[in-house]
Amino acid sequence: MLTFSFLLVIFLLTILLAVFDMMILDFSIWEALINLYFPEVATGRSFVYTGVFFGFVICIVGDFRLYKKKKLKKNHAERDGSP
Amino acid sequence: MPKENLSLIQLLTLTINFLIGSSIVVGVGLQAKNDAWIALAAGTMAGFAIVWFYHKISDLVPEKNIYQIFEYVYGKKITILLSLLYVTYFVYLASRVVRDFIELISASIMPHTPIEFISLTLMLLMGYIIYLGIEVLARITEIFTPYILGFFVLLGIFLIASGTIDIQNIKPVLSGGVFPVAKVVFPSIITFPFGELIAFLIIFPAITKRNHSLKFSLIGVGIAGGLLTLSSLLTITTLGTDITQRSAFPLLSVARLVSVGEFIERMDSVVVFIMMLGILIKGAVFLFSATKGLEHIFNLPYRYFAVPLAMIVSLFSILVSVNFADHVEEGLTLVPKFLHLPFQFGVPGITMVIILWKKRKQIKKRKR
Repeated sequence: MLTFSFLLVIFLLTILLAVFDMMILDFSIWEALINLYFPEVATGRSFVYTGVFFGFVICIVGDFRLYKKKKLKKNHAERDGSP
Repeated sequence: MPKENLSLIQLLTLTINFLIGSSIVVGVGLQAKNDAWIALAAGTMAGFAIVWFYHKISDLVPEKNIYQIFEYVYGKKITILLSLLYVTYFVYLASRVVRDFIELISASIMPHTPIEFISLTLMLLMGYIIYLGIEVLARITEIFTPYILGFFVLLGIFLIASGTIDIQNIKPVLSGGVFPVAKVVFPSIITFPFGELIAFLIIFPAITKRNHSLKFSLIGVGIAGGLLTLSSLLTITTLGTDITQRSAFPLLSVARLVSVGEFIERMDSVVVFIMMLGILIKGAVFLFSATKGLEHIFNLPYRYFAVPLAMIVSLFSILVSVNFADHVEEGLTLVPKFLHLPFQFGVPGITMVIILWKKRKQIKKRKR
């Protein structure tokens, strides 16, 4: 769920920014998206992309831990329920 | 999930810092030229009404934040959709606030550092603060607010002592009549910064002494509005209307003019401190509001979302605009119309009407 929420927020914000760029710069949706993620000048983008990757890894690790916790709880419940 | 508690003083300091936030960086109401201070004073009056409106919504459905109020009013499905929209809105606003900050830092103190690096470091800090909880953020504001107030007073005294203030600059007062000022107040000042207090609908349920929270919120709006009006007066009387309008960071330009006996100079560092703290608090409040939204949608503690969402804000603070001019243009033309008005007044207004209708229906049922 964490990873899904992470990707969902990125998707929604991308759409919002693309719509604003379409309105201000008279772009088509594809032009706006390309302009957003592949600009002509992007000197230090690697810093923020690294940050986003770090956030993505945190989400995957968090999801994995939540899954393990859920599984453990289920096992405990099954064990307690067995005669 | 344990409930967080905020004191009234923390609410007051949060309100002051939140409202000062990015408004003091870019300057508010500058379109009103030398009547900007009148527009800000009038905007503060509207700010009182706005904070009352948000507080009223919170009072009608006590102990619930905006997302829980949506669920009470609209049901689960519509709430998920509305919450997603609000999360997007809050993350977008946080990105804009952080962009203001990085533009300020790159223009004033670190011109050779890549803006992406400034953004990433700030957002790691913000993510960590939110991970620790809103109480930590509130304590930060509680500690630093006296410094902000002190620095403002010092700045005013030093400007007067420097002899740079020319009171004639605010004349002619209301030369174009009341209409141009009213046009700046609505929607510009009402939506930014006062309407952004919508984020406090997530904070209000955490206040311990709810019966006094409205009073303290109003005092907070009054103090912040007063400081913004004062900063507007200082910039206009010192720089004049033309330079104020052309300056990207007017208050910073004003602070650079301080020179008392050629000894007390370079007051811009003090102004940068005020701006940095304001932006940290404002960005963190928006980030907190967004994480609370995701908490409500996915039924997971908001702390899980703090750092990943902070990284998203870091990315979008760079993507939000090509340059500072584009950033300001977007903020003045598109954001108030398409985002602020519906999210700050449209949805909450409709929600309030439905809550009142529901309450009345319940009372009628009970009477029968």
